[in-house]
Amino acid sequence: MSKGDRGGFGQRGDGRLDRRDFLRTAGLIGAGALGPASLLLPQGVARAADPFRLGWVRPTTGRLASSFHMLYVGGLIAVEEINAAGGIMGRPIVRVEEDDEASPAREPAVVKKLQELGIRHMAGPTGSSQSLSSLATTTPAKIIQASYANGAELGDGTKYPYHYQFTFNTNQQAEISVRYLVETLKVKKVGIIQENTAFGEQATAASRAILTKLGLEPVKVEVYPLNAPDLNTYVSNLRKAGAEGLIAWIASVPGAAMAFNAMHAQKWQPPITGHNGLFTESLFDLVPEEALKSVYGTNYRTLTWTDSEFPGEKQVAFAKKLVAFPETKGSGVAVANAPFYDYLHALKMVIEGEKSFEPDVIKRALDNLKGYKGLLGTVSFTPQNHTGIPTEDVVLASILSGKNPKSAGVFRERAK
Amino acid sequence: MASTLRALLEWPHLRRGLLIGLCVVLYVAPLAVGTEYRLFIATQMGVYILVAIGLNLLNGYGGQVSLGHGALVAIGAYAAALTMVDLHWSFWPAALLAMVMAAGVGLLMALPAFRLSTWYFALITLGFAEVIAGLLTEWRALTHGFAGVVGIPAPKAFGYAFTARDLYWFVLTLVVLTLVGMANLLNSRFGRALVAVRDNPVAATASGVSLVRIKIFAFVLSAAVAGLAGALFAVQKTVITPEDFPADFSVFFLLVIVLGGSGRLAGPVVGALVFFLVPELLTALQSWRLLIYGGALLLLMLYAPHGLVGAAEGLWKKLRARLGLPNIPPTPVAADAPIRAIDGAQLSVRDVSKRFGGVAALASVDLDVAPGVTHAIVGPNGSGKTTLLNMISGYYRVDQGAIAVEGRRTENLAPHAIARAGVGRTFQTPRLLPHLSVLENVLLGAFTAEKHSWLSAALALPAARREQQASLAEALRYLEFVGLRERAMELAGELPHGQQRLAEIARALVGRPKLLMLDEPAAGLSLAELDRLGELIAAIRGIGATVVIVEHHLELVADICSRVTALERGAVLASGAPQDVFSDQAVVSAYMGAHVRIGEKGA
Amino acid sequence: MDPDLIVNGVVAGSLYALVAMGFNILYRPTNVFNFAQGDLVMLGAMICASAMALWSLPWFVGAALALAAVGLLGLIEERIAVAPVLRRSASGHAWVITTLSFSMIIANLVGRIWGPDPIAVRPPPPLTTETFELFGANVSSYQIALVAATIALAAGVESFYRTRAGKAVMAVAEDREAALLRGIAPESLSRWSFLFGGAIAALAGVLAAPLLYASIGLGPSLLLKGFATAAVGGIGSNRGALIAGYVIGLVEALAAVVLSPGYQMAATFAVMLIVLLIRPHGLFGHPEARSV
Repeated sequence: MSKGDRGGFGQRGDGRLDRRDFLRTAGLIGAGALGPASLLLPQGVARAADPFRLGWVRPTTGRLASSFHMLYVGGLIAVEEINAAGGIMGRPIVRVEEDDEASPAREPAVVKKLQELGIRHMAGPTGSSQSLSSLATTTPAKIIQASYANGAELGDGTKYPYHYQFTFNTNQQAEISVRYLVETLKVKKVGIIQENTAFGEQATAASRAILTKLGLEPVKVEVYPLNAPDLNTYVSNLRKAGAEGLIAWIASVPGAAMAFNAMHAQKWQPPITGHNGLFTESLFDLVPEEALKSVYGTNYRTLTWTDSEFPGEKQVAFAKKLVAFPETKGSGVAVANAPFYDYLHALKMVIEGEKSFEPDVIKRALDNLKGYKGLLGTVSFTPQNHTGIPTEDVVLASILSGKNPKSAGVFRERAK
Repeated sequence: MASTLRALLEWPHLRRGLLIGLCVVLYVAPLAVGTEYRLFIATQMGVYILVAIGLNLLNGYGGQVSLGHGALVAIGAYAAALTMVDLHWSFWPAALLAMVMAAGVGLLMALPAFRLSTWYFALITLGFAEVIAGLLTEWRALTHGFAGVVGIPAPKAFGYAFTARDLYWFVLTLVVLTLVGMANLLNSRFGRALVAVRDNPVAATASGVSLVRIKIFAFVLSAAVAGLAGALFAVQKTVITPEDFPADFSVFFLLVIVLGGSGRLAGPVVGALVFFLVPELLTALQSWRLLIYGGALLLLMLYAPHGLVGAAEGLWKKLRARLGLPNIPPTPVAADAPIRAIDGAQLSVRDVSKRFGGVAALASVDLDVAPGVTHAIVGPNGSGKTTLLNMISGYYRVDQGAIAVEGRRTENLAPHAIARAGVGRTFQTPRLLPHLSVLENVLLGAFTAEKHSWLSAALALPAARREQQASLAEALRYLEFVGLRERAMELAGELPHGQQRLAEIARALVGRPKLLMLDEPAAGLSLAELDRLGELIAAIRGIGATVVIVEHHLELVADICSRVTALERGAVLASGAPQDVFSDQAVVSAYMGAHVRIGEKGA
Repeated sequence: MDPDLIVNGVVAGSLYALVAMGFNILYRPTNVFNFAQGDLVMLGAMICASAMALWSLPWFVGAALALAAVGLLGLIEERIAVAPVLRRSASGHAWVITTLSFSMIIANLVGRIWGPDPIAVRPPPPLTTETFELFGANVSSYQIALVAATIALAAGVESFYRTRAGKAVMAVAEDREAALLRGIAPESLSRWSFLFGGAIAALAGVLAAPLLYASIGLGPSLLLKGFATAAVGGIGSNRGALIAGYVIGLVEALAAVVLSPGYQMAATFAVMLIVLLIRPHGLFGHPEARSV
């Protein structure tokens, strides 16, 4: 990937013509004079290379843009690789980028706009609420889509037949986190600390369900608001309840730092398992090393190492490409955990296998995808189950191992 | 070219013609260019415009800053969505419930306005919005928590479900109707009262407007509109989650109306249009967009405080001026009728005292004014004359003593209630609404004389229109009476000082006061205006009103008043016929300090 | 009550009081409520943190740099966003929008300069955030210093208002035109107030950073609570801000134990509403001047 190419990262493929066109008719509103003939499809450009136009929903503005914008780098790498290899059935991929401002309220408009541009395959958005909001429009429009969101509901093939989850889901995260504490570490008194967000709520509900299955109850569940000035109270409630192991459903870095520092200050270091957001390297500057010793996040088996195993060639090559993007610095795990790389390669495979770009054909093929060796694991779908990663490909990994040079900015050491 | 333009601009139905033409285009457009995306954006814009129109009533006209309107939209959206999805209500009762719920919460939000000033009020609305946002996720049993409400059906009429295009037409119709209703309302006594509350609360209360009631009215009405918009928001989006209503949602609407033109009817429409179209224009600058918004807003506030519409109005006026066309609309016509007589009220002030801090402003003052009499209160500066007027009209609380108008005790009433009881007044510095026409200022005085409800004003029902026509006739008559009829359509702020006084007297008279109190009406008048004032007061006495006048100009007092009370240092020195009071030794020596001899022209 | 709760409440309350004091200083001579205050607080934290992290400057230098830079920014805000609209109408509301737009500008610029990652700020030695036990509560030396510094600052600012210059500020607050007649220049006072108000905002950010970390999300959450603190204490009163900060901090700490997050906000709000309904001008506020 050349430097020049990356300059185009913030821009919107060939969507520009259409935007201007939209403006001319701008809002239907005043003019009314322009007929449907003047709409849509950039003339000229389209015919020459006959590109495969892929919707690319990525926030470039808004509160969450700075946290989300780099998560599409894996997708960019895939586009680069596929185009270098001649595109999909000879058609180069062209991203038609739309800014959703990471706002659920924007999603329907974004999807409708892409739909009007003739887009029938989409990558994004990022975030569970954003994805659910987006699906309300993409599903009836039969747009093949992979979003970066771990909500279990998003892998429900009966509800969202055109959406494919190339990641683990919250239930799997919860299962791995609970089982590690209860089965590997033999902890019986499990406490949960949760941020008050949609993700936190789902993950806690899933954790409770797994605990119940194991015949346990959480000794205490503490939910804190995102703007809490400190987490001491919540942490000491958990400590006083006698928790011997914690599950942390915390996605925000300041929240995680406050929680771990509060535990450190209270000289309480229970083993902690939780969200993959904890892998963010800026945590190392905020929390003393000894406070992170027994903290583990959910990750993919393929992206972790043990004493005897190391990530495969494919993953290592990918990691090298990934770290070449400066914006991924410190958040290599979150970027590598994105579904877009596997999604695009699987899409290419399926389309070329079926020799069709038709969403319904692609859907049928993806529904029967079995054992696809992706970057993140072995992906399989059924018409009902669109969560592609099997639970055995989900593991816990040490947060602190991010400081180990072996991590190469992307990999982590699997929990023993 | 210039002449055709001139002819076009002179065409009396230009505005109406343009608006109807625009409406036709908007209704027909979807048939020609209505793709799904455009319909979606246009409908969403319509919903936002609806909220902004409501907020404009409260903020633009009423001057109240609400930082919680986004939460009211959320309440409307959730009320409609939950009843439609969980209880299978049809859209129509659900939308009604959305309006009622939002209005109810709006009322709750507005109640602290009884006691709090504007800035605390803004804070309270912000806090309310935060609490509501918290409850949306917390009250899971009702709101489904973070998951939100999914599968909201389209509105149905007679078994027919609205398509995206129908919904667009429906929202468009609602926007048009709301705008028309809002225009009617703003053109009525309620609109003038709101502007008065914003620009000059004292003028409002002196005309009998209850500040609290009109603020609450504006808040509840704009909340109901927000609720309706919320219901439409829900059916348009089909899925709503708490994250659809972020903290800055409320600020967004404030920005929209400021951008378009706060206090301008078209402001919200233009503002929303620009807000939606600018992102399309700034494609290349995508990620700088919010920065550009911020900068643009700042510049706009500095150089075009009335927004884009205000700026356009300015250009329009310049264009007309260059073409030699008048910018002042013609005076409306109204039936002529004689001025009706008033039964003057009797005023009695007994043993009234007032202290400010440690200083006694009034000490045990008695004053009796018989019905129909013109009674002057004189005295050196600081003798307590204006304080006495302010106590009679309720602006100061009475520490001790009793005040009665026609035998009815008024000392504990609020100023607007005293005005409603028939006490009109003017102020030392005229309290006019500078951005309204002279006629509109005078019409404000008719606030209590008109009885129609806000709804009949908004719908322009015949009863309301009859009453408004009657007030118009009356206002024009009183403007004639004070000699300002030919300036009726000019902006009040552009009148010279003396004429502002006369306009203020006309405003007080339109309320048909039984007791009219004039605070130094002669101050700053030219000789000719002074003569006119003398005649005017004589004419007012002729109608039958009781007049109390605070005045330094003793010759005028001697000419027109039958009784005089002289005050000094908050106490009554003398009271009686002018010649007796002015020859009283104590009064003369009190005035010696002021170097004014009795009978000297000018004061 | 758990002694730890009192510590948490008082420490958080001190932070809110610091933010409220920044509000107050700006408010006194201008009657302007600065909606960009939260962003100034955040910027103070970010500048100090970056100076320490990037150039390895000592805490005091970083803090001084932040105070100077943000104070200057406050002055710029006054010049371009506040003074022009006040000149047009001293009692108008245009400043709501201009300060809001200034806030948008800063927030977006900061978002472009700094990434989403929070930056750690170590307290100046010998202070640390390591806790020890004191009267049954876990406290750190930094928390004690923070609480003390806040009290000292409140006392300092209040005693300033008793000086000649301070009285001039008060006179302008009460009646801008009358003050003008007495030879006080409101324009220069409002410039100074924005300079100092900005510096105090930066100080709030700098002092909050070791506990809350310097991040671009710091502003909004402190803005609202600082706002509430200023209102409950009585806008303009720094003693009030201190007391109100403790009240709100303690209510919040208590609510954190017994209520779920959605209701915590409601509890804080209820306290604010009750105080304001009983005392419309806050605990230590003064009623506004007469209107007629």
